[in-house]
Amino acid sequence: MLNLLLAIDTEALKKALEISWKGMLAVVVVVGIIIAVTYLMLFISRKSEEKKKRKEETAKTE
Amino acid sequence: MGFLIETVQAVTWQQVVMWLIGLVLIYLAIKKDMEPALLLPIGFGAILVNIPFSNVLNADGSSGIIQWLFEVGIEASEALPILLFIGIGAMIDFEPLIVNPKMMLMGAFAQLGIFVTMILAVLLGFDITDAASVGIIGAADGPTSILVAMKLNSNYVGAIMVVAYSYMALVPIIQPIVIKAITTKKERQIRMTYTTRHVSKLVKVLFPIVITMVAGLIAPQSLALVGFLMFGNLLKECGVLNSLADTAKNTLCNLITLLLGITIAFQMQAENFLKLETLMIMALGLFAFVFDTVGGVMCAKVMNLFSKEKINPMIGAAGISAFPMAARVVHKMGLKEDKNNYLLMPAVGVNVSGQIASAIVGGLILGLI
Repeated sequence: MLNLLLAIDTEALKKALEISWKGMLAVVVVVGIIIAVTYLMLFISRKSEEKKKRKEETAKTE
Repeated sequence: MGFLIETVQAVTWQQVVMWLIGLVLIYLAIKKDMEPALLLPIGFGAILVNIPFSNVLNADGSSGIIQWLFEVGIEASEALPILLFIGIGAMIDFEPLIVNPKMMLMGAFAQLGIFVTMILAVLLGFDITDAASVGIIGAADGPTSILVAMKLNSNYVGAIMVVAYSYMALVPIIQPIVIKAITTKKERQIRMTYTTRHVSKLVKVLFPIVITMVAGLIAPQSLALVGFLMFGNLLKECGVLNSLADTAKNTLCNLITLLLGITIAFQMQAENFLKLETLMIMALGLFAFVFDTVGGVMCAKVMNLFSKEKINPMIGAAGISAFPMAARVVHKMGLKEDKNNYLLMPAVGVNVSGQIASAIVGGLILGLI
């Protein structure tokens, strides 16, 4: 067991750990931004559709 | 008469083993319907490249057809796996995801297995580039696995490709076991209502463009994958290029799949494939799939702590990129637990987010190494 532990390439392990936390963080950040932008797009499109509907309704009543 | 048996005499036992592996892959493709579009060409190719003096590898000193396809289509430019993404993009409907964007978080956390496996592979003695290439099997995305392994010059490209596609075919067997192990019956019975909100055409058109820009600005190395995936989707959603979109999702996809399978077989020459490491890669690939599933399900459980409307944690498992198989597995499991529990649409939303996230992670790994 000790031999197995001693055989581990600690530099590679450090690098793997670094890539792992950076990779997970980056993917969560990218996805977080995409989620925020998608909500924003949905919000804007809903508002503009509502505005359009209101305009059409007022045009009809007039 | 010696010339008639010259080739037979040159056959090694390793090549015979590769023929058997090829036959097993063909059997799985035809009889078990496991990813037949890929396993059948790979299996047949495994036989082709393991016949001594085969001119699909070397033809009078120059490259044979399979070697040439590999050198041009994969080694030189990774063109085949990248072009396949246009077709995949043209097939995907992102609407279930756009309707409920927070589902994307599960797609992100379902990539956990890639990193955990990479660490384990390093502990098992693989160098960092091979470990990352093995870890990416967890992306459950063949083209991404091929691209990363090739770009990182992995010594185990053949094994990684075969293992990646084989496990993708085994998703309906692997995932239910893992999901059942980490969820309670009560959790599996949570019903989800799918709100059919209208998504405007403008949002559908902007979505692929925005994703490409965000992914590109933060992880430029992911652009080849994400960009081509989103390009295919833009063709579909723009509404003015229907014939191109149809060509991308049918003709282009079929053509590349056809060539990709047999081209991958180049890496299945006995001397490259029959190594102890291949068995280790098979075990690590399974580990990656298991941890991806765990990551997605656990993310759903954590989200449940904060949301009023409960999420069925099983849909987190669809965050692996195997599309649409993972979503279908979750849907079937939902119906098994409760006949009226329809999880297909939420699961598809998570599934397509996994497609995006895996392409991003592939690019991130290339950038970070």
